[in-house]
Amino acid sequence: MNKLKAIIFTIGLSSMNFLIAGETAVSGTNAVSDAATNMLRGNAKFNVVATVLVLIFIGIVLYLIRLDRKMTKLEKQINQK
Amino acid sequence: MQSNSKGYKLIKIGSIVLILYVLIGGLFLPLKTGITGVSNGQLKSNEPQSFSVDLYNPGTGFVAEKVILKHKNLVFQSQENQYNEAGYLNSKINVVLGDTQHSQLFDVFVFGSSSVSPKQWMYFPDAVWVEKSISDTGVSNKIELSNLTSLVKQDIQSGFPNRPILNESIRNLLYHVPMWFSMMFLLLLSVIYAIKYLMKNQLKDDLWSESFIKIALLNGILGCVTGSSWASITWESWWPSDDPKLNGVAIGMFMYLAYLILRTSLKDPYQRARISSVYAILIYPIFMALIAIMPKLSADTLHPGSGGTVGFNKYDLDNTLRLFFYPAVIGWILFFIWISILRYRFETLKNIQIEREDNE
Repeated sequence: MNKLKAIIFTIGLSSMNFLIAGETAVSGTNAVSDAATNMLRGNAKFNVVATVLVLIFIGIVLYLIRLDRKMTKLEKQINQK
Repeated sequence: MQSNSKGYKLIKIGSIVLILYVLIGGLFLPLKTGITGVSNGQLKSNEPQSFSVDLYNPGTGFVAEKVILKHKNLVFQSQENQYNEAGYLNSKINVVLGDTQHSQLFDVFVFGSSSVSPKQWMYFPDAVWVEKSISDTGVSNKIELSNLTSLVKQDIQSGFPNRPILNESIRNLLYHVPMWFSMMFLLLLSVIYAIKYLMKNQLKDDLWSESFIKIALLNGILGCVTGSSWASITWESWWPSDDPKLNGVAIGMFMYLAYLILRTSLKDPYQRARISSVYAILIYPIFMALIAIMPKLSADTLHPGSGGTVGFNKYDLDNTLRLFFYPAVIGWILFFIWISILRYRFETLKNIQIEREDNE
């Protein structure tokens, strides 16, 4: 069950890009993505570097939290016996 | 790999040291002076015209020595340059296209000196449009092309290169690109372990293969998300759908998601290991073809490496970037190998627990 959740999560994450691509293709320019790109463009495009680093950090931390939870569960199983 | 072995410690400490080096160096080293844009860049030929160049961090006391417009062999030098501290450089120039030339887009070169560097030059391609006037044979500020090429060689400023469109975001080369290098490397390791399983029939090799693929997928997701935010400002789209590299990698990641689904659907561990090992070996060449070969064949990929790309080719990757790029690639690869080892250790424990439950 946990694995299924993980797979759905991954598919969701990777298909988000298609959704965003579709959105911008349909409506041309939309306010939300305009505001976001303006934020990223700040300080001669330095903000996008910061964003990239934050995203990598969030990704790794989320993965570690997931692994942590699984380990706790396994520990409980082992200790029950 | 044992958790107290020397190699394991080397991977852990090595990755942390390298990534720290890349983070500190990559964030604190300044960017070279550059041009971020040109305003009033619509000129008429055969009369003195002004335009304004937007400079990025030229340093205090900047003095513009030369402003040059170039289109192939046509090179013109400005008559007057005025720099104000807000970062704008106003130049006056007289361009004469002559009888044989049509209206053209010109590249802008700026040469100057400041506290940062006594000799700096900047460049912005296709920035100024010169409209041809009806009579176009007057006296102009034309100079020889050789004057420009000799000036361009003198660059003693230190720091990351300031490329048009990229600007500060060139630092992402150290964080976004190694994600993909690491993904490819981990997938290669997974293939090696899959082959090893098929030869020796030991379940631990299959677990290695699985762990590497899982972390490679994490890498892929990170690469997609970071690449997407980078593309939104440089390529003006969150997912430029006509780029074969992006679509190739999306298909490739779905193939590897199918690998995970395949594993969950098989209950017998030996059967699961054999079938998924064969699958992992089979899809690796397809994955590499999708992300490395197909974009090369296609004419219009945005990524560096083929076609008319915005980013880096072998001349663009200069020595300062190289000083950080190679450690970044090695550091990130070692870091994700470390996480794969953690995953492998977890999977092994889980397998022991499952076996124990089955025996009872």
